[in-house]
Amino acid sequence: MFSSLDADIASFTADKKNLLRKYLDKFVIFYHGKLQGAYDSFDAAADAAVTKFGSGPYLIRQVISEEQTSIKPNSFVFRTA
Amino acid sequence: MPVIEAGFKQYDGMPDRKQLLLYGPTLRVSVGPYKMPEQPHELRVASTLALIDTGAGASMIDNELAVNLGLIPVDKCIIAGAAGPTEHLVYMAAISIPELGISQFGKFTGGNLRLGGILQNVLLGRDFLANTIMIYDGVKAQITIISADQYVPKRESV
Repeated sequence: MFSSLDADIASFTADKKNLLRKYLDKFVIFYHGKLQGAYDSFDAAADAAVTKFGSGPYLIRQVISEEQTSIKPNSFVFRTA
Repeated sequence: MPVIEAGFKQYDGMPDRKQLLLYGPTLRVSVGPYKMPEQPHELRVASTLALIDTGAGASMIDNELAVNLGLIPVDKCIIAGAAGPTEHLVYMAAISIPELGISQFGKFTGGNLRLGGILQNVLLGRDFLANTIMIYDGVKAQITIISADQYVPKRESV
C-alpha cells in the first residue's frame, strides 16, 4: 500500500552521502523516489509537501549522520528504517 | 496551571483502582491532521483515549485511527520491543489535550494498539511528559497531570 514511501526511503538511503554533504541538518522531501526540496524546519517541509503533493505519502526526514540518529533506550526503542 | 485527573472513577465518584491497574493512566485527547485542510469540511478530528506510557520514548497513534483520519504517512521507523524489531509507519499529526491547553505537533509512530488489546488509541510518551508534572498515587488510585506549559514545541524528528 505504501510502496511509494518505500521507494522514497530507498532513494534517501541511496543518496545519503550526497545529502549529508549538501543538506546536513535540513529536512528533505522525497516524492516518487526523487528529492523535491530541502527546508530548515519540519514545519516548512510539511507545508511545502502538503501544498505540492497533497495527502502523499511522501518522505520527510532530517538529514543527519548515523551517529546522530535518535535512539531511545526504553521499552520502545526507535531508529530510522 | 491547568490540572486534570487521569484515573478512573466508579459510579459513586470514588477512584477505581481495578480500572487503573487494568488500563493505566488515561486521559482524553484530540487527534487530527498536522495541517488544516484547505476545505474546512474535510477536517477530520477524533476525540479519543490516550494512555500515559512512561516506558515509551515518543507518543504513538493507532494505525486504524490514523487511516480513518487520513493522516499522512511521512516516514517509517523500526521499533525494537520485547517481541523483536518491527517496522512502523510514521504519520504527521497533531495531538491536543484541550483540558491542559497542550497541543503537540509533529511525527508520530503508528502502532496496532487496539489490535494488540490496548484500550486506548494513543500512547503519550516521555515527549509528552517532558512538558507536564504527573503525580501517580497508586494507593489512592489518583493520577494528577499538571501542564507545565501551555504549548509544546513542534517535534521535528522521531
